[in-house]
Amino acid sequence: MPKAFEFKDVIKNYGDFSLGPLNLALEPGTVLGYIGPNGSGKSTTMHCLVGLVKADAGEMHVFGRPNDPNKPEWKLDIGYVGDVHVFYENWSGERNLKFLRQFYPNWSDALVADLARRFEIPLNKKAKELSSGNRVKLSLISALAHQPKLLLLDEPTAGLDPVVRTEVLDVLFSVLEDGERAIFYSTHILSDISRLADELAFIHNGNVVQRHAKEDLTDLWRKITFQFDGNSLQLDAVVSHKQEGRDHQVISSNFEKTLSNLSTLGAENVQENRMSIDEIAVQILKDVKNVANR
Amino acid sequence: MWQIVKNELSYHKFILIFGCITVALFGNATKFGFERFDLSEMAWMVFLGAYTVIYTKSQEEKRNQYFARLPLPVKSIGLARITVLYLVFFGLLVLNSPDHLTWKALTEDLRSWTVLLGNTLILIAYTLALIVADIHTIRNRKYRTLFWVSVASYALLMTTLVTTSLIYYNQQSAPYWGVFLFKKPIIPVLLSLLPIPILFHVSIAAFMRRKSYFAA
Repeated sequence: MPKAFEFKDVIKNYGDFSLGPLNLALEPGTVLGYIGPNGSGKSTTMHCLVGLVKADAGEMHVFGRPNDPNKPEWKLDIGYVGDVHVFYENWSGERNLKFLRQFYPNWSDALVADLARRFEIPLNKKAKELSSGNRVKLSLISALAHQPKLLLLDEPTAGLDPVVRTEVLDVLFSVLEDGERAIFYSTHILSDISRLADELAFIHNGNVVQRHAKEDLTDLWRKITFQFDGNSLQLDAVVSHKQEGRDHQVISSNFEKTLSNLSTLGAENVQENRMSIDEIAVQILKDVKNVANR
Repeated sequence: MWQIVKNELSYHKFILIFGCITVALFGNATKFGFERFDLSEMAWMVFLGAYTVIYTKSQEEKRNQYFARLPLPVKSIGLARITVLYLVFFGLLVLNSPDHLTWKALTEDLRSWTVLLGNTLILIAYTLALIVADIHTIRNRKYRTLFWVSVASYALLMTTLVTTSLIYYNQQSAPYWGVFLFKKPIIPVLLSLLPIPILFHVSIAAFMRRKSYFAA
């Protein structure tokens, strides 16, 4: 079965920033969180895939079809929501959706009605009169109404206040949890996607530096505190280490290995605590940044 | 492609209806005995205003970005974009000065040519603006050739317009070659119309070669 999408050695240069060579793929039905700081290349990755920006080199496929701008059938399988929500501003939400409907054979008016009800969006209002939150909702309805097999969400809630963001995401995730579509969700706020994601890919300076199943991260990562008097402390899988006198705190990416080391060294009062996915992501990005700066 | 054209015209229907009525009435004011007030000048201003609103709205509302997401070949989108501008232009032009577009006027009356060239110059200027915006995203010397083809077309048309105007208003100050050319009306006809199909195609080619559909 073809992959939902596949990047093969994709490069995009902007002079002061370069994406890739990027090799990334997503299995159908999988949710991949694409995590990275601002300016790391998340949006550029999305833009190249959707065809809003032309890559300088490499190949991209969507469900086995090359993303050729002159043979755009592959776009029928994609629903895209970016951080900018573009509409015919003087038309109502309903009229904008009617415009889009002409291009998608799988467009479902019933789904539009259901989504509009769940999002509580006034579709009769002109696009330019919609609040930021409602513009995001209208974009989401536009992206979902043709029932795409791959949903690309590029920080769709950027710029929204926390209350509206939570409200939008709650409805969105309840909608998405029902489906079996592949989702590629880029964000720098991990809590936005941690509920849905099966896998997490971390991007830094235009390159995917790590990719893990979410379960692996929460199963393996631990914050470990202990007391130790010696000077030479060699521990496996430690990504962060703080010390005050004989009190130590480490973050381990494989707690079993670290605990085994500590046991051998004779550390005292060893305590391990599970970490939230947000804490783990922050630590991974910090670690990547430190490695890059060394 | 036609879905986009149809929707764009529908989106601008109020300005188009207003423009068409005003241009048709004012542009043909002489027929109603209003020669003294030179209402055809006002028609020209309305023409220009309506055209500018349609053009700038499309830029402001990031239409390129909206359309680039649709499952349409990029060539169709480029074709639709320029077709909308040309349809509106020729529609307004026909309403503006039907008298100037008769065969008799075109072969015998230089004023008709001045009007036609003046209006065509507007069309060319707007097409050029589109091409320049497209080429700005293509950091490639090869495609900058498109830009110079466009500038050459514009210069050609401008030269023809200036020459026509000089001959029309004061034949003494017109260059000899201009006076010579306008003895054979078919030559300025071809010269003034030549850039239109060229730039039509250049604008589609430039749109297809854009490296980004974000910029206006």
